[in-house]
Amino acid sequence: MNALRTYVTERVAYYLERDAATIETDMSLPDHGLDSVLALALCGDIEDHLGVRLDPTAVWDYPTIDALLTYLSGAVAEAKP
Amino acid sequence: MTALFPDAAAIVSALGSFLDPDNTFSRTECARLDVEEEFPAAICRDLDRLGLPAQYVPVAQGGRLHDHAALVHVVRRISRRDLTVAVAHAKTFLGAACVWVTGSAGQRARLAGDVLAGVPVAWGLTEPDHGSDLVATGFAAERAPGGYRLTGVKWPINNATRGGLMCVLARTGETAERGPRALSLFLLDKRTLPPGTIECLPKTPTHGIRGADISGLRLSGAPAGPDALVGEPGTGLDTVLRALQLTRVMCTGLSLGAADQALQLIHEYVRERFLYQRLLIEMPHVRRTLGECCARLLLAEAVSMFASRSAHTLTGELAVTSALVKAFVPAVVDELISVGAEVLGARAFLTTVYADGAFAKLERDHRIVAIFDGNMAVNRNAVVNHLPALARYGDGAEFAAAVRHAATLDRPLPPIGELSLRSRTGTSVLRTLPSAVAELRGPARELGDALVTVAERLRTEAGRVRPSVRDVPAEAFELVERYEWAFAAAAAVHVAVANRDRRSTEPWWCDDRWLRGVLTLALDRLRAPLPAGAEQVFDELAGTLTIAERPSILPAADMEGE
Amino acid sequence: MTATVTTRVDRLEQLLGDPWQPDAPLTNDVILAADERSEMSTRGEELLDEFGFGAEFVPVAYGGRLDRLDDFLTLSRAVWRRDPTLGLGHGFASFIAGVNIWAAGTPGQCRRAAGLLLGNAKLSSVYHELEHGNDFSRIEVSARPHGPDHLALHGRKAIITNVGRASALVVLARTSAEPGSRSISQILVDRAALPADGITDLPRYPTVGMRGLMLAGVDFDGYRVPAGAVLGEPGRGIEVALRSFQLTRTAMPAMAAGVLDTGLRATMRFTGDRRLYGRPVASLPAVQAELADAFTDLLIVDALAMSTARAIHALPEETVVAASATKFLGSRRLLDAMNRLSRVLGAHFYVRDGEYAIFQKLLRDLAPAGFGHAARVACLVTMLPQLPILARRAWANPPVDAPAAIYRRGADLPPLSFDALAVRTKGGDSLTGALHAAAEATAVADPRLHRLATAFVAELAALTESCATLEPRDLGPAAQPEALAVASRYATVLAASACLNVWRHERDDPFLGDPTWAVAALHRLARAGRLPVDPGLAATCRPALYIELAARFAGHRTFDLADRPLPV
Repeated sequence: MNALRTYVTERVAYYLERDAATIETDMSLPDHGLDSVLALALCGDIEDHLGVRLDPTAVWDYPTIDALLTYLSGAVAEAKP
Repeated sequence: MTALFPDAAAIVSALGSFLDPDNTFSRTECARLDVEEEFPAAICRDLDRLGLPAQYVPVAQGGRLHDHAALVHVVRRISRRDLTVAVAHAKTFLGAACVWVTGSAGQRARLAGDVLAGVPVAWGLTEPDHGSDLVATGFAAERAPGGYRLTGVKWPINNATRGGLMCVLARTGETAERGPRALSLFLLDKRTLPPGTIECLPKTPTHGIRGADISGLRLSGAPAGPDALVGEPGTGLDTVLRALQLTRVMCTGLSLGAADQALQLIHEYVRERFLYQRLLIEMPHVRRTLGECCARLLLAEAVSMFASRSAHTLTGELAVTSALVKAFVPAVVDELISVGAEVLGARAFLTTVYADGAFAKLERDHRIVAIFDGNMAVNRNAVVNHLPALARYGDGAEFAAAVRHAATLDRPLPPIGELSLRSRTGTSVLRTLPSAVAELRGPARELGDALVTVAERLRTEAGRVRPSVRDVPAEAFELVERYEWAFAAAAAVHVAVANRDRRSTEPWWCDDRWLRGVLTLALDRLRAPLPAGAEQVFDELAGTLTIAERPSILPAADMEGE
Repeated sequence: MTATVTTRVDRLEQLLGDPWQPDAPLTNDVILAADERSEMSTRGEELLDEFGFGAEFVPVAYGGRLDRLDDFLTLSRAVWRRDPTLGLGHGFASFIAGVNIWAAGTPGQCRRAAGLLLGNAKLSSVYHELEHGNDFSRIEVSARPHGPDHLALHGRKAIITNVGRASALVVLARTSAEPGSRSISQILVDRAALPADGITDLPRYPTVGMRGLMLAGVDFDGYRVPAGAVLGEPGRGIEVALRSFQLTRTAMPAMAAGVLDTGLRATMRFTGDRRLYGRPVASLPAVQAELADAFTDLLIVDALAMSTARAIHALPEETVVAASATKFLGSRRLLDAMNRLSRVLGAHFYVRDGEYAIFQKLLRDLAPAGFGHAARVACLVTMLPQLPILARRAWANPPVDAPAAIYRRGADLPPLSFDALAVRTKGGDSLTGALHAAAEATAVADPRLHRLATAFVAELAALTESCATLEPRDLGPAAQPEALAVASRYATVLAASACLNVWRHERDDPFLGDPTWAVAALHRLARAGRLPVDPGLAATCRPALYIELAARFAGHRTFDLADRPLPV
C-alpha cells in the first residue's frame, strides 16, 4: 500500500507540476488544480500501473489521495479472484 | 451498389431540385434567407414532414436511428444544400443526445415523442463568460421544495429561442465547490415554465449561418421537478462528455456536406470558365488544385465514415476518436474551401455573379463547424491528454476484427455500447495499421509503408508529451495535428483494404485511386518523402471527376437524388 | 519612415483617433454600422477629405504630397488598419488610376488629374471585364476613331471600384483590331467634363466583404472622348500597366498588413479579457505561440513589401518580378494569419456585435488582397518567364548587394521615376544578391540565423538549377504545377532576404537588430518552403516575440516594422 501511495502521489505531483514532497494526501485535488480532464488521465495511469479497470471518473468521486487509495484497495481486492 | 443509407436518399429526393427557385428548399431561397437573416422555418417544416427528426431518435424509442454513420450521412446530405438549414435542424440531435445516453425510460419516451413531433431541442452548455470551460459553469440549480430552481444565463445557444426543450448543464453543488461532481443536467420544457422565470435573449448577429437562431436563455428561479434531472445529481459532466463523443462525430457530416457543395461549385466553375484561350480545367495547375481538393474531401469522408461506424465496434475508443475527427475534418474542409476561394477569385466574393453567392455563403457558414460543440483547442487538448497513453499500447491485434468491422462499409453494426470517458486501448486504427498496409499492393503499398514509418515516429514523440491543460506547449498541439493526419490516413487504409475487392470497378476505387490520393496528401502534410511523381495522382483524381462528378467512397446511389 | 511623413501620419492618426474608444472621431462601431448597411463610412470619408488624403496620390511635381512609395504605404496602412473598405474605396482605387496617368500622361493630363484629386474627387481604373479576368490582352471594350477629333467607346466593364462616382476614368481599351499587346491603350476619360451620352452606369455588385465598396459596371455605347485622351502613345496600354502594376502590386499587401495589425490587437484584447481554466487565455502557451507567429508574419510581409517599395525608387530596373512576388506571398500570409487568429477568438470571432466584432469584418474585407487587382496565380505567371533570365544573369554569377537604404526605415532614396521601371526584367537581382552578404553577416552574429540563412542560399542555388530545366510550355498560364512552384519558392527566398537584410541594416534598433525576430521569420519561411531546418527552432523565438508583442500592445504601438505610437 505504501508503494501505491508513493506512486499515486508522484503521479499527482507530475500533473500538478509540483514537488512530490509538497503533496498532502488529504488535500482536495480539484482545489489544487487537478482539472477534470487531467483526473481522467491520472485514472488511466493508475489503471495501467495496477493492471485493473477503474471507473474513469474515480478521481472525480474520490478527490483526495487518501480517498482514492481507499477506493483503490477495494477495487484491487475485487479484481483478484 | 445499392445505397447504404436509403433514408437519406429518400428524404433528399423528396425535397425536389435545389436549383429550382420555385422549391421551398432552393439555393435562391437559402441566399435570400441569409441576406434577410431569417430562420429557414418553412424548410425545417418540410424536413419535419419528410421524417428527418426520426433520424435523431433511436430505434428503441420509435425512431430510425440505429447506425451513427447514417446520421452523419443524412446531416451531410442536408449540409450539401445548405449549412444553415442543417445546423438549425440537426441541433435537435445535440440537444437530445444526453437523454439518449443516460436518461430514464420515461424521459427517453417523452423526448422521443416531442422530437418525432418536430419540437426543436436545444443544448445549453455555454455561458457568456466561459464558453469552452464547462467545469466553470455558473448557471445554478438550487434545491427547492419539489425539485430545483434554476437561475442563470446560457448564451450563445443554437435554437435557444425556437427550441421547445433545452438540455442544460447546471451547478447543483455549493457555489464555492469546484470539480466535476458539482454539475448536473436538466431537461427543461420551456413551454411549461411559469412566466417571469424565463426570458429568451435576442438573436445574436453572426458572421455565417445568419439565419440560424443563435440566441440565449435567462432563467430566474425557474422550477424543475425531479423528472427534469437527467441522470443522477453530480453526473452532468460525465454525461455531457459522453454525449459529445457522438455529437462531435455527427458534426463531421456538416463539414462533408460543405465540402461536397464547395467542390461542386469549384468544378462547375473551372469546366465552364474560359481564360487565356482555354478552359480553366485544362490548365495543369488548376487540375492539380482540383485533384487536391478531391483528395481532401475523400480523406475527410473516409475518416468520418470510419469514426462514425467505429462508435459501434470500438466504442471504448470514441473519447479520442471523436476528438481527433472533430478537430481534423472541419480543418481540412476549411482548407478545401480556402483553396477553392482562391480558384474562384472574385466569384467567391461577389454574391450575385455566380451560383447566388453560394460559395461565399458556405465559406462563412462552415467556419462555425470548427467552433461549436468544442472548438479545435478543446478537442486537441483532449487528445494531448491521451497522448502518453496512445504511445503505451502494443500492436492491437485483439482489435483487428473490430477495426475491420468498422471499415467494412456495408456490414451491419451492433448497437452502441457503453461510452467511456477515456480510451483504454489508444487508437486501434493506428496500432493495426501495419497489418492493413501489408494487404496493399503496388504504388498504394509504397505509400502505405511510408505512412507506417511516420506513424511509428509520431508514437515515439507522443510518449514524450506531458499531459496538462494549462501549460500545454504549442508543440504538443502541433503534434496532435500531425496525429490527426496520420489517424485519418490510417482509417483510409483500413477502409480501402476492407472494401476494395467489391468496389474495384467503380471510378474512385479503380487502381486504388482515391487511396493513393489521400495518402499522398497526408504524407505530404506529414512531410514524409514522397515517391517521384506521386502528386500526379491528383491529376488522375481531377480526371475522374469527368466520369463521376461526386467524389466519394460511398456507392454512387448514396450521393444521388439532388 | 522619413521625418516629413511622420508629421502627416501623426496628424492622420490623431484625426481618426483610437477606434476602440467610444468618443473617437471614427470608432469601430461606426465602421461596423456602415458595413452592415453596405455603405462607405460617410464619417470616414469626411475625415479623409478633411485630411486631404487625395493629395497623397498626387506627385509633389503636380502639387500633391506623393514623394516616396514607402511613406504613402505607411499613411495608407493607417487607414486600412481601421477600415479596408475606406482604404480601397476612398483612396487606393484613385491611386491605381493616378499611377498610370503620372506614368504616361501629358503634363496637361497630369495637371487635370491632380486638380481633381487635390479637390477630393475620385479616379477609377476601368480595366476589368467579367469574361477575361486577369487576361488583359483579351479585353473587348474598344475605342475607335469617330470623326477626326474623337474616339468612340463601345463595350462593357464590370466589377470596377468607384466607376459610378469617379470624376475621371482610366479605361483600358482596344484601339486596334489586330491581336497582340500593341492593340491596347489606356484612355483618360474626363467624365466630369464630358456629355453623358453613350455611358450608362450598371447596378452595384453586392459583396461578402468590403460590403460598402461602390463596385459596379459601366456600359459604353458610342461614348465619345477626345482623340487626345489616350495616355501616352496608342498601343502602349499594357506596357504602361506593367510599369504601374509594380507600385500597386507591392502596395496591396503593404496596406493590407494594417488588417493583421488590428486582427492581432483584437485578439490580444480578447486573450487579456477572457479567462479559461481559471487563468487569462493570454497565459496559455499555445495561444501565445499563435500570437507570436501572427506577429512574425506581419513583420515578414512588412519587410518584403517595404523593401520592394523602396527598391522601386532605388532599383527600378529590378522590381518587376519582386512586385509580383510581394503580392503573391504577402497576401496569402496575411490571410492565413487572420484565419489562425480567428481560431484563438473561437466563438467570439463569429459574432457580429460586441467588443471583437471588427475582427470578422476585417477577415471578410481581407479577401480581395488575395484575388483583387491580380490573382495570386497571375502573379506567379508574370514571374515565371522572367526567372530563367534572373537565374542565368544574376543567381549564377557573383552576387550584387542591394543598397542599404532599401532595408532601413527612413533612409534617403532617389526620387520615384516611372520611366526607369522595367516592363520585363533585365536580369539584375540585387534583392536576392543581398541574401549572400547578409548570410555572411550572420556567421558571427547568431548560429541559428546563420544556419537558416545558409539554407536559403542553398535554396537559391537549387532554384538556379530548377530554372535551367523549365520548358517553354512552362513559362505561360499553362505551366505545370511544378513550374509554378519554382516561382513560389523564389518569392519565399526573396522574403527571407528582405527579413535578413532588415536585421542586417537595422542593427542599432534594439528589436530589429536582435537576431531573434529574424530567426523566427526565416524559420517560418523555411518551414513553409519545406527547407530542411530544425522544427524545434520556433520554440526558441516565440517567447521573446510574444513579450515584444505584449509590450507594444500595452504601449499602444503598431506591430509592424515602424513600431509607431497610436493615438490613445
